Amino acid sequence: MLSVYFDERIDDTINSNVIALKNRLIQMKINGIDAVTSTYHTVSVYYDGLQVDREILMKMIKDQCESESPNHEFESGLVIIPVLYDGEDIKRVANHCGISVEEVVNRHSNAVYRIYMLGFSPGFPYFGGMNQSIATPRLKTPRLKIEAGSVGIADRQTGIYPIESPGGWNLIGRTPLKLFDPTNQCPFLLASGQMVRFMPIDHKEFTRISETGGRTYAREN
Amino acid sequence: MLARIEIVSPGLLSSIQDRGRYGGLDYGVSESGAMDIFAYDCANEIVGNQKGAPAIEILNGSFKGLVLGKAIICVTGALTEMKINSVKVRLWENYLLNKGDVIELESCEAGIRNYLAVQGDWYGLDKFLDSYSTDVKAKIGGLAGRNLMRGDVLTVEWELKAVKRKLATFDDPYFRQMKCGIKDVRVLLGPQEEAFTFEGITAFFKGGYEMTTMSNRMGLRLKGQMIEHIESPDLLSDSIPFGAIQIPGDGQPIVMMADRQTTGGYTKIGTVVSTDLPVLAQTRPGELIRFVKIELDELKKIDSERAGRMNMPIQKKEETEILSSSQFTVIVNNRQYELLVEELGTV
Repeated sequence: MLSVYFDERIDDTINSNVIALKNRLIQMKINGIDAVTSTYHTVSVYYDGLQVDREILMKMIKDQCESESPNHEFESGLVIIPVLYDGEDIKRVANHCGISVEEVVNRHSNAVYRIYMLGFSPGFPYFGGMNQSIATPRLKTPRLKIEAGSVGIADRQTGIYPIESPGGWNLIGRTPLKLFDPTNQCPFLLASGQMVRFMPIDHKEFTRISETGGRTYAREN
Repeated sequence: MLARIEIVSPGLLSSIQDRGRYGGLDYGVSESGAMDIFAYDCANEIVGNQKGAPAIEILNGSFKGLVLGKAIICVTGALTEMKINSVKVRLWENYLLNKGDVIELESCEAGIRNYLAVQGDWYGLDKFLDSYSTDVKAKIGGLAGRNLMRGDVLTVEWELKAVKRKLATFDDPYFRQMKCGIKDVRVLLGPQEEAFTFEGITAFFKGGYEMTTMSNRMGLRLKGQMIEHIESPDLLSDSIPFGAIQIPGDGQPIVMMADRQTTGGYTKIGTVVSTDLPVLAQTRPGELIRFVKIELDELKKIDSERAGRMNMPIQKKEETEILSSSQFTVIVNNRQYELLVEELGTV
């Protein structure tokens, strides 16, 4: 694997440049490359050393890094993620922050979040942009089983569990959308670089979206 | 023809694997795939499959399979006593088995993973993002996204074609290392070598590290002399390649393997070269791993060892001569016979 490291910071501009570099490398369709991935601040190229010469590949990557006209491809619009705010820990979060449950919902849903990267488990988005007034420490004892679709807060971050897993996040709600659905032609709902907003919904709406397969979501321009 | 094999005992852990899944690496889906890619590739090569066909990865022997329909199979990997109908047979060779034959792997004398390949196209397996590899966490690939269980029946469609009976690769360091309780694996420093003290890096290359029982397909947890960080063991999450050596706060290395998560926030002192990953995959708990430092300019030569290892069977002259016919070992009434099948032209 060859990696390009940008400044080690969580920063929108750095992350945009990272994703633009990743996209340019993917578009080159270089033989012998298995995957190109990105994180907050890095781009990594997985390659087979028997199929592609490391030096040549490094030169190609360097050329792309120095490319004068960065080909920024911003995701247009906003991904709306409907959330039923009925999580087991939403009162705990409200108490911790000294505000009402309604205000937790307000502050969580009145923000635009950037997806810096996907990692940790299939389709898991690393969001940035949470209102820091609702930051809440993780649970002291993690739960053994958290349902897919659960929306939580852990310290200064918010996230969604795409698959059932153990975890110590404060659960504030759940989305009927499937972030990871291996049976779908597009198995991942989200991608790095996208902007996201949470929309509060009621039980009826939750059920309605669930019944349509959890794959319909609105986009605002 | 339909080859069918019923799993009578999957042993400790058996799963369907191939060369791994790359299509989801940027979306948090693990690479998965065979831990020992060399043994896995050889098993497919020996039964005459295309590179990348699914195979069964078996952990620590104690496997039993019952043949329900004629099949050509091969087992490679760990030094394990293998029996067909209670007759001891060699690994790294192919066998033509008939209905009612029983394949057994007993305990491993050296190494820990075996690969069972079956000639033909596998039926009824889940393919996700171009790979059949089982990922239990994401419940994808293989047989319904899970490990194999007693009673599972695997089906492979095939027709008799030319195959190589065996590969002559036993002089490769891979085999010497498998039998040795101390394994030397070569490591390229970085990407975060500057996060460690001089003493930390010296300790890493000086002491051997013992593999603990906490190791699995995700990572090998090792213990030995502590590797000291200058400051924090944590960093902003970056990508983790196969063979990356993470050093968390306790200073004990974890070598990240096939089922590792795609990203992580621990400092990585180095990466084991691809050529030596099969040796690592065959390490048993209690055995020692010694890290040997290499420089970047040695990488090409080390890669070519791997290329030579895999090309050997194709380039060998006597092997290509067999390509007009097929040789198998068959077992009838507890006696082994070498069987030669020659292709005849159409009449």
